[in-house]
Amino acid sequence: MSDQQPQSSQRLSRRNLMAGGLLVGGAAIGGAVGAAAGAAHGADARPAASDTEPFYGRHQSGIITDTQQHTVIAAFDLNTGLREHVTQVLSRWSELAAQLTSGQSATVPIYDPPDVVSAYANTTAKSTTSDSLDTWQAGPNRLTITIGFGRGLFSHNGIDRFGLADKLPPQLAELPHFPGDQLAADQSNGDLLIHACGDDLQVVFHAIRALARVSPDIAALRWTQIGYSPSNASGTPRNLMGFKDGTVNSNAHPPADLDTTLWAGADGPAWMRGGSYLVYRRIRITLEHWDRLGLDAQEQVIGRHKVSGAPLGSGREFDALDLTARDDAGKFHIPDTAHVRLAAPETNNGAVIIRRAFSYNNGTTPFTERWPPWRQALEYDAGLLFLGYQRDPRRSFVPIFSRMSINDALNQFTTHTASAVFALPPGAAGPGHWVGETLFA
Amino acid sequence: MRPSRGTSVSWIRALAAAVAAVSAATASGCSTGSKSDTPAGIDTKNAQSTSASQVSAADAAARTTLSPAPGSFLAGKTAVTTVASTTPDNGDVNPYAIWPVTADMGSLHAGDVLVDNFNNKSNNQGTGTTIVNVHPDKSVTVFATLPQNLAGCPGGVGLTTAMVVLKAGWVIVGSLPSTDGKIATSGAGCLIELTPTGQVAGTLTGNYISGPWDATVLDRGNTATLFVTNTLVGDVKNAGDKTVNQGTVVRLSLSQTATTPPAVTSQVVVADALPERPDASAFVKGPTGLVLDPSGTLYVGDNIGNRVATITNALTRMDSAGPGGTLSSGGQLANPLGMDRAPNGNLLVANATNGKIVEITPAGTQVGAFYANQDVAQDPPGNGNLFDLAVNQTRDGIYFVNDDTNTLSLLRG
Repeated sequence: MSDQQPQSSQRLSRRNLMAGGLLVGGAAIGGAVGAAAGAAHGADARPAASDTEPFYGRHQSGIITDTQQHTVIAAFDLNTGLREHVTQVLSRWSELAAQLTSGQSATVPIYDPPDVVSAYANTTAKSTTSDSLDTWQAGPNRLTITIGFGRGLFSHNGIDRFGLADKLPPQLAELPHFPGDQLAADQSNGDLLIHACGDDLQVVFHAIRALARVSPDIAALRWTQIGYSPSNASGTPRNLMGFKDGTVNSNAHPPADLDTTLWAGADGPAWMRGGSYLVYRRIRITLEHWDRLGLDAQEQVIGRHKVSGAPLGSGREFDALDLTARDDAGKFHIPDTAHVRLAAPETNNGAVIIRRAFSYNNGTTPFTERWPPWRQALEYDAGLLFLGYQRDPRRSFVPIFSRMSINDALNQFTTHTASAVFALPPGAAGPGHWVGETLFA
Repeated sequence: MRPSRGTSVSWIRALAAAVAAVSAATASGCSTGSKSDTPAGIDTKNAQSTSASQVSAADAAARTTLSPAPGSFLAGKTAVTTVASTTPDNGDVNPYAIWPVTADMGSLHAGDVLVDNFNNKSNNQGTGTTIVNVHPDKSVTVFATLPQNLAGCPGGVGLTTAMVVLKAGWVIVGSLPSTDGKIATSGAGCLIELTPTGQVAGTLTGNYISGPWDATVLDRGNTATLFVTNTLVGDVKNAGDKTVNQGTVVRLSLSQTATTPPAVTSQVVVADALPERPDASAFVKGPTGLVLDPSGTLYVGDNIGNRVATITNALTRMDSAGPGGTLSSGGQLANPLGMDRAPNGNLLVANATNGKIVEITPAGTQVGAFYANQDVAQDPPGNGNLFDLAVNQTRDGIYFVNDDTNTLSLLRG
């Protein structure tokens, strides 16, 4: 391990690592355990109970950071054709983000060049640079701010607005249409991403709100999505389906370090070295239908025991998946269509995704369930925010989900309603540096 | 108050603690240990079994088994593979008809399997407009995308199980349309004629078509005899929970060439008085599957009557046989939908209210059942998931659709 040593302050939690699974834990990554041990050793050297996550570092925070309890994801459209506008916005975002993650109130570095038409032109005074103060003295709450680039930054309707087209990483490929996709275009994709996470929702939202104020006429909000995750203090947290989400097993698989699975390497452009690629999917889960299902039936769908989290046929959460085990009647303990079987690296040529699991709840909407019995009702628009990080989505998410989208028993409870892929560049080295400068260098 | 998120414990210590906790839970769970390891409020019985009184007959029937008899087509067939997703890029769902293609014609090639969709991406029933083509290598292309509204097709387009491919290359597919997925907006529909490349060539409408639901054909090349079940005859729309005994089977004589699409030269109602009913979850129920015996007997899947009806002399009779005789009823049957004829001459019937395929001899004996779709998300398992089925081209397996997962599967030995 040369340049991939996790920063000592970035704890590698068992919740962050999941091999291949979309909703519920697959099997473990041996190498990740090794990396985690190193990270834990480093963490021991730091003051315990720190409430602050660093903004600066080789890798951006918010990827392998122990998953916080709240998130706000914000995507932006760029309403400009000038490269200078983009670099000004990005450098100011990093400058402000560093202050926000330290828990300080901060002057908002407004960027309002004269050649930009303001939506507020001549109707109000210039924007104040004052902090809104709504989270003043609330503390950092482990706030992380992760910045990403969508394909639109490199090519917008075929136009290379910023002279970046030849720097588009092949890994930042458009996702194919998957069977069952019901994607809302206005809730998907985007030129830029700000992903804020922390243990206090108001702190997290404050960060998004402040960053979005920097230059709303250039970087305009496209969509936002709020998510949450229960405490992991008493073990692997559960998703809305009631199953442990993010279990890591020890297994016999060969070690795979984070450079192999997570961090962008020499197979992509130099400016992305040390970055990663995020696949975002908002997955609506028909909880109404799920709640009608008995415990045994739910476990057959997932392939794990609900209470313990153990693979079917096993006793403990961290037992390895045995995909060949059969019961006395000769049937697989873990059914053919069980979620964990299809998600497991063993059935995906070892493909691995590292993810952070958040649930979301956008209230209720009229909905038609897409499986028998056909039924229309006001139903929860709630489910899971899939945030999968990988070195190359073409080798991880796409092949894994291509198969799952056809065969996963979970599909009849889930509908993918929003989607995006972002390149997450390497972190900013320190004050004066900014996330994205390697691209614009 | 918020628990700290492990910020004061190292990852290793957290893991060790979790493992220890789980180990303790497991140990006590395996012995007579304390109840504190088992969450309160968990019903370990299947929740749906507690409401069994509403569906006890169906549940009881689903739980019975009938092992395929030696020599039956189902005997030895236990391997189900998912062939492909049947949802095209436009998001259509709810696959209904299956047609295994046996000759090269236009964009169709021997080995292809056509599957149509009844619902659009919003899952509104009677709005699906696509026929997908599942190729032998399991890749899927779209054979035809029809407009939502088509002149000559009253009510619009929502493709049903009534789909046949003629030797002359024409594809005939039924439409039983709605505008919002509900029976109240349904139209009488039509039969749509497509070229072998999936282009609309015409429509067949008339008093003989009212909710075409399934079809079978005796194809002689330039002429063909097409049988179609109708499920919207009479005031089905407003029938509420009442059964309307007016469903029909119509015999259409067709004439076509390789360049002239089929025209109806004569029509006879060969069966009527079959039960039909609107249904909140299944849109409409009524006579569905059709199989023509070489002797000229037509078998009709009487969905509501839970039986297979027989119409004798179906190719020649000039009157209606009414609801027909009964080949087989009850037993393993659970509201028949699609049907096909096995190479051994037996009937294969897809159940609506569980996921079983039932085999019946021409003498009326049920000789086997295979639980093809056991999805526990429905009760009884597989309820509502099957629709059409078809013997495959190599005559050694059965294609069936899964409406729970929008897939095509193949059952083989």
